[in-house]
Amino acid sequence: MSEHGWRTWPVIGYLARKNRGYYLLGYLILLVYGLWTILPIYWMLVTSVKSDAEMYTAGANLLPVTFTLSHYYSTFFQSAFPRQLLNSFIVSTTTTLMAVVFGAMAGYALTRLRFLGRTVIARLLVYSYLAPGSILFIPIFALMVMYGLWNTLHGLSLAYLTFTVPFCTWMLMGYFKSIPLELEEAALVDGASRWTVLWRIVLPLSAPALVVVAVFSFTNSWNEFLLALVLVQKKEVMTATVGLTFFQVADLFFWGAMMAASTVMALPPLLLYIIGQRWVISGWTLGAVKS
Amino acid sequence: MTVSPNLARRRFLKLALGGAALGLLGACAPAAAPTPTPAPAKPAEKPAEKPAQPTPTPAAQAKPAAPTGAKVITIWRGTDYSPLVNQGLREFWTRYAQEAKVEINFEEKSGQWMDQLNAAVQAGTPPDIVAAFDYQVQYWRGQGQAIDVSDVVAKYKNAMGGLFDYVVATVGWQGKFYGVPLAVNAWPFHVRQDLMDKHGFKWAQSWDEFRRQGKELTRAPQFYAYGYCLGKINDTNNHFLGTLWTFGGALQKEDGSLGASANDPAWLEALRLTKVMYEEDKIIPPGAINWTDADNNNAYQGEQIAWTSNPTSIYTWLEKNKPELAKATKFYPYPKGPAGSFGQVDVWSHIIFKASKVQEEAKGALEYVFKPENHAKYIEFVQGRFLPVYRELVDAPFWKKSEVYAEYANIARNGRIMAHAASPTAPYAEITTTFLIGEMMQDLLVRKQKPEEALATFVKRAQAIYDKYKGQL
Repeated sequence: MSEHGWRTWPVIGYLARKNRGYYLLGYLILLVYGLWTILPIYWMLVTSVKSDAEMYTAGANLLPVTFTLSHYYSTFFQSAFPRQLLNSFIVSTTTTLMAVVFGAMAGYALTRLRFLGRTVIARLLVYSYLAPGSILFIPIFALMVMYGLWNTLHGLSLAYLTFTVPFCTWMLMGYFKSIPLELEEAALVDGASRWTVLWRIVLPLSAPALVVVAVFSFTNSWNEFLLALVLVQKKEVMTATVGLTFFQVADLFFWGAMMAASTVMALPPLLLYIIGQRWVISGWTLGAVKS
Repeated sequence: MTVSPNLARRRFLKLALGGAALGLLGACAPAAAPTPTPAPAKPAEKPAEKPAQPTPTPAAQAKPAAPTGAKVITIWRGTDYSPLVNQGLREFWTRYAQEAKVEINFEEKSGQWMDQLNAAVQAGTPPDIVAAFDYQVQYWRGQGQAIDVSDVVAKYKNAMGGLFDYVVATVGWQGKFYGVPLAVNAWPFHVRQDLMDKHGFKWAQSWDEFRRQGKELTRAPQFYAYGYCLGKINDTNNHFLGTLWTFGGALQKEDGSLGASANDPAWLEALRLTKVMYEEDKIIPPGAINWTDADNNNAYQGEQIAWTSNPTSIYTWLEKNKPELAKATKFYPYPKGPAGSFGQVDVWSHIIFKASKVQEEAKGALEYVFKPENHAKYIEFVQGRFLPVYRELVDAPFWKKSEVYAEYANIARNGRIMAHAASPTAPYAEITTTFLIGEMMQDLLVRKQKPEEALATFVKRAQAIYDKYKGQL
């Protein structure tokens, strides 16, 4: 296009100046990505307030024609879902707290102490985290049965520690390495023990990293399905991820109730992310997730 | 840093310890009062008429009374879209528990409970009794997990006109029985009779008539005549095999070998018909090549198709959510082909695991439901959800009460299981669960292969599976 052409087409001229075209392209990509992310959530919300009959009419309505909260009512007052939600909360909270405590201690030991097999243990941690759950669930189930821990929430929490502790340890190791050694050496010279150094110096300085691993551990435990499906088979101790499967019976899907339950289930991790957002972001930028 | 490290540490410790204590207390506390069955929100409502009660006792509503130290029989079954299915069994087994002085631990499982079962079997702690459908009896027998229950089945197999042949094929193997049949699950064609009447159509007596009617009923892209599943899913197995039978073909021969060959005329005719209905007549929704098992339900329930073959989950949903559409729906068998017309069924049963320590009591529980007088009561109790396993019971007055079920009983008489003409053995199970038929449909309709090519590939793959299991059934 000639110079004259740029002047004739003001929009193109505008875009050509100062690389505005790149900005526009960037926003366009962000818009598409945003829609890609938001639409399923929007669809979940809308479906949860549509009537069954409307869901099965020809064509899809972006807005519900008939607004109903009946799916929320049936989910909360005619099913075991509230109990399952509470179970999920208990298991995820317990797992997260234990994983953070053990992960911090293990991460510190592997980062700062010198002992035989340190490197091997550090590597094995990664392997155990990366081992596919579909392979491990049968041996874990056999162990749980052997020790009478199946169908219990504490048994499930213990099983979740098999993947949350390696995860927390590995993440925290990266962060602990970034803390200047001189701070700890100064404390040791002043007579502090290793425990004191960990609790008084390292952990307070690692708050962003601790929040990150806590958020990730909680989310992983909250969303975990396979172990929950196999290890807790009694309805009164089931977690919400397994409870969701009750909204499908053979080839019948109770979409409304399933979406209502899913909407509610998405809230705790969302809330946690909102609360921990500041630390999560700083944790990332400070290297909490570096390998 | 402006924040006092001491304060931060103390807060952290307090929070962590307090939270951990609370969490552990919660986790270790006995589970709160068990809540009722996690209502798959709305399990299908019971049909209009009051079900025949298997005379439950007051105890039937609660845990069965059993003396302390009584033997416990653990039973696992999946949730059904009709709550009557498990409700009826609970009531029967509660009565049995009272009579036999045992305790029944009935566990109703959610969607993906096969993973739970596999883990339990691996760990050596399976339930005593588990529900099994279609190939699962033969699967557990082949794995050496199911006990021989011939003594139970043989007692009644000739009662009430005898068991249907397909029932015997499902639970029997080389003259012995490894499962106790519970009921027959039919796959009728759900048909929009209101639309048929509007166009002056009667249910098609041939595939040509079926296609002709389909073209008139189709108003693409909003409405298509035939909800024929063509993806790599279970329903594709059912829909294709139901069509194949009308041309004289079958997945298996009577000796249990593969029933298809590269140039099998029946298979080729069934494939040609499928291709012509999809590509030329365009009476099948184009998206059917990607459908899940639920999508033909959704399409019929959403009034986007006029016909589809399915268990009565569609009808049950309609009764609750769209009663007008339920009234406008009738059941039919497959349209006639050169070899005739057949109903499609699968058989639901129970097996007893070898690891069970209460095998005799478990046999007693299964016999209690299986004996003809109780079986008849159970079938009536579930209100059309299942057909009986005994031939003469389809002549019971119940099946004549409703016009909807007029053809339903014929489907049982004229029915075939997918594994026809043999038992649903391991190679059959592998072919149907790895969706080789769906793969053939993809070759035919997505990769646009000729029927001959698609069939040749299918036969090669299927034969390899049969060869793998040679001598190991």
